[in-house]
Amino acid sequence: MGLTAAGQETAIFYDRWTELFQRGFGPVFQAGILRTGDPPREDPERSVIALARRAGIADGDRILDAGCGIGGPAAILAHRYPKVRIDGVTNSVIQAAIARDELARAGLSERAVIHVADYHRLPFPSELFDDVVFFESTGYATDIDQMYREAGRVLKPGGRLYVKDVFCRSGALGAAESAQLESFDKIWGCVRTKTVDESVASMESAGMVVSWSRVIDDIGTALLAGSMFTLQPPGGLVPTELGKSFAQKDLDPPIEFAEISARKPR
Amino acid sequence: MEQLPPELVGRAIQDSEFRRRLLADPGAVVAAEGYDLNDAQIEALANLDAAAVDQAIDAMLGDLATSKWG
Repeated sequence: MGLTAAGQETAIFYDRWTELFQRGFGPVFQAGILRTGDPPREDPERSVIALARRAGIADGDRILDAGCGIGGPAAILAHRYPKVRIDGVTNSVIQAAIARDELARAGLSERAVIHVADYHRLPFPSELFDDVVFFESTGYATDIDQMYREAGRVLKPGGRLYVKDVFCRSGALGAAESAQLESFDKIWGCVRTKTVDESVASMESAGMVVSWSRVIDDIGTALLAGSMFTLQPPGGLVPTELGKSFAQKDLDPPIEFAEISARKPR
Repeated sequence: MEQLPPELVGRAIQDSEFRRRLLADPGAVVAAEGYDLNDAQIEALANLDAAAVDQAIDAMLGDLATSKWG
């Protein structure tokens, strides 16, 4: 199935920037990383495993990673859960190629399969998956109702939907906040950052039962900041290649990291 | 130049109080916080001028340094 026009825009964005993101972020393209361990650290691998627990993923599940990046989370989950099967979808042929190479190198190709596809029109039969997860990918949706209808369609009855994302804070935005959010979306190639409330409403209109939603407190963006700048004596703050392209002075969008858990009725 | 752990750099950028403590006594703070840095990395931190770093962060990042995003 082909990409929508907006899907093609997302593909162009990620085809252009993925290699730089990989050098800066590593295999997990997520801005917010859960702080885990003692002392708490932003460790992407531990963060993905902790998110999987919150999502209710169990070994043996068939999982869809909707917006899979270069397959980092898929690889982490396939390592952690030796009986899961993961399908990842990305609009970007560059991301898909890197993901497939990395998964093959890790010997995970049989259990983690990457598809170039649009999550508004998933190339899967109905009622295939136990879990559908969106890790910081819903900002690229042009039609979240359609996106969640598709997620609901491919879930088995009783299957779980889990979203961890950057959301626009709820409530009316002032002009300055709207401008900040617009800048944020433009810089990061998003169609529009959604609110939790509209996402919950959209899931419910797609027939899902929302179990809970909450702002994530145990999350940080220090890795993101530290991937954009380095410190050099005596007083230098030096942007990396990533920082030169993506750090915008005074950007302070009205966003929050949050998660939503829902279930398809039996 | 010794590369510093990105998470440590990010924390120093985002948290001015952590940055103040880190640059005042990098060896102690790194040990207390459980970071595994070599001597050259700790020396690089010790050679940073805290006031100049503050100025650079303000000049280059402004509100981004303390936003929920940055």
